Amino acid sequence: MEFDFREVLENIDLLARGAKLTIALWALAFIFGLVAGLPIGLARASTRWFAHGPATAWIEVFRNTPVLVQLVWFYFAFPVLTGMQMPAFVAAALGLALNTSAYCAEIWRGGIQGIVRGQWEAGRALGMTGPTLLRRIILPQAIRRMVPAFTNRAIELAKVTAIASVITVHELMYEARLLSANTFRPLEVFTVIAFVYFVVIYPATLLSYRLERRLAAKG
Amino acid sequence: MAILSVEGLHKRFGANHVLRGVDLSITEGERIAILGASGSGKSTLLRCLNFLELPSEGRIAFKGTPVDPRYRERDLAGLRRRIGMVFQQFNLFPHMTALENVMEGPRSVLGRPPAECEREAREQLARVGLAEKAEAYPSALSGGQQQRVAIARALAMHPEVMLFDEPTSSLDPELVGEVLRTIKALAADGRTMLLVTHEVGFAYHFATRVLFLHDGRIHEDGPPDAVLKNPRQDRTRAFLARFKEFEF
Amino acid sequence: MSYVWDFSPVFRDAGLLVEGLANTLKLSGLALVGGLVIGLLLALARIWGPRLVAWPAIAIIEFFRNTPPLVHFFWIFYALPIVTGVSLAPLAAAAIALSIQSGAFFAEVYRAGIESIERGQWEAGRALGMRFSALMRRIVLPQALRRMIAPLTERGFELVKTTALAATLAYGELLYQAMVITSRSFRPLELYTTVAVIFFVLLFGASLGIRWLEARVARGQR
Repeated sequence: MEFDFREVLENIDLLARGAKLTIALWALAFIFGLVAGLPIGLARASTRWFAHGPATAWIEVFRNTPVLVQLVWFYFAFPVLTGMQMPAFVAAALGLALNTSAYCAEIWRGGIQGIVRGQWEAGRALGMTGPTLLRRIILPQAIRRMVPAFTNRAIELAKVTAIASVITVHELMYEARLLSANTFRPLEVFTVIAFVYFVVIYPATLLSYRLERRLAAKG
Repeated sequence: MAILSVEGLHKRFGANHVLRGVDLSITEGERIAILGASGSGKSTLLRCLNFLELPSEGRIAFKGTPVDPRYRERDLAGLRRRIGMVFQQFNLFPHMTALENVMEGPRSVLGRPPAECEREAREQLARVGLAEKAEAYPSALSGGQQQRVAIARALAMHPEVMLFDEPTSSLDPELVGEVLRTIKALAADGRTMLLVTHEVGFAYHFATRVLFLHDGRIHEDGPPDAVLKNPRQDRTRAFLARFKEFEF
Repeated sequence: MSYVWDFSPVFRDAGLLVEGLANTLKLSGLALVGGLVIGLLLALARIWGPRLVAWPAIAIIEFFRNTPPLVHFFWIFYALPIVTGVSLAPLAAAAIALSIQSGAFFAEVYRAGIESIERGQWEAGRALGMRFSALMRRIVLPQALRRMIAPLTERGFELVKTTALAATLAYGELLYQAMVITSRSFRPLELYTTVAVIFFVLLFGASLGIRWLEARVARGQR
């Protein structure tokens, strides 16, 4: 068994192209998920059933089904419902964004509910109302607790983008599978791909540990 | 013959030279109180005696037999069956009842049959005044009660030496008395005991010999009257004076 | 324009879906057992192994935790046979990949559990004269296991979700069967919605079971 990386190296530009799409997918999904997660998380934390109910349903649906099933549904099933064709990238971005919003909602909720009651009461005693209270008192404290959870989600999402290859999004994993099929060198191609993912994700994991420790120390 | 003898004991933790040459000979039946400021090395000295800390230099002998300086865990395990230890943090096993805690040593270390272990354990618990708490879990017991169970646990092994590492330092003041009284009652057994403590008054009444440690060395060594009432060194005087500060 | 739902292909080929569900559970079971065992070995190697054993264990753990599972599936199915000369059936490849991947996560759960047992417990056991095996068996593992139940079950939950990726290797689990039926009947909406619902019921039910289990363990925590 010999390794021959020449063909992989010759086609590195194809892989790079795929990587760009991976990054785009990741960024779109994470930013949307992060932002959309807040109102959903707040809704879930609410005591009013018409906020709490749908938010809970949203979160549970996305957390209790495999990501691949979600992406397949958005790519193949959803267009049937709307009557509109949807490019693979859009379907993937949509699926991942909504999925991320569900996980982020839980992080927001946990962070906000984790703030001691006394903080809310102190703010209200000063005459603050909801939005001001959130903005000035609650969120600044909650965010410190939530950063580690959000970074973990971001890292997890980076791994999940590879699933988009299954619905033919031309991101990194897809380009790798294509290259492997064209060059008949799955060993070299998939080994390289594995290392590329590792080299990007592992440092991010290490940084997130360091961040977690730093935040824990400051209490 | 000395039951425990220590020669030239040094212990370093990295750059920190905690014990700087301790020589000590302990006769059977002695009750020794070890006093000193934080960082003086008194707990370290105690923990070297049952080899929870391994000496960096020096020799320790138990009943005349030197301990093999290779310090293999299985040899040390054998030695530790004959030396009992009570910890500042009690260290009871939280997933076992008080009775099971006390039974654990005879059961899995000495391999005695469970019925015998149980009988023995109930006796020991009765001895420390906790017979009715046998089925309770540590989390349901007060600090003082937990420490007394810990004492029973160590006694169940019938050790020849008992080591107490600041047994009351983690207790609320109201609970200190019950533990000290339990320890005092053990004096009747005639067992060799070493007690690291800040309870100077108790040390005076309980111990047959008092050691004062400073900077990793023994600075005073004598009967309680001598060391505590008429210490030779200024340092000792200064240390003891601190205890008089809040007396009324 | 209103869409007319037609679930008849679902009912007609319900048998295939049932078979798919059974295969999902089969793969889940295999990978779970494999993962728990591999995880324990990796954890013990990492905590107590000599460097020659610990470093490879750490490398495996970190590698499989920081790369996408899909890559593992493809590597084990397409690349490993080139290295070993032995070709693998989709189930075997998926089971191996998923076992190692979840094993890497389980290993860290084991490690956290064991290392969370405070030093005082080790010292109390050693002070009584306990040897390592008795210490582990009587004192450390019983306490650690209780703390590990929650993260282990959560990891197991993720494992069941990841089995869906085996569809890419043409393993006949639930999603794959849906794809097969869809290619025949051209009713992707009905089929994929049905499959999503089946997964949901399975996983949501499992998550309720997990929460019940965690509550029970917490209550017994005395």
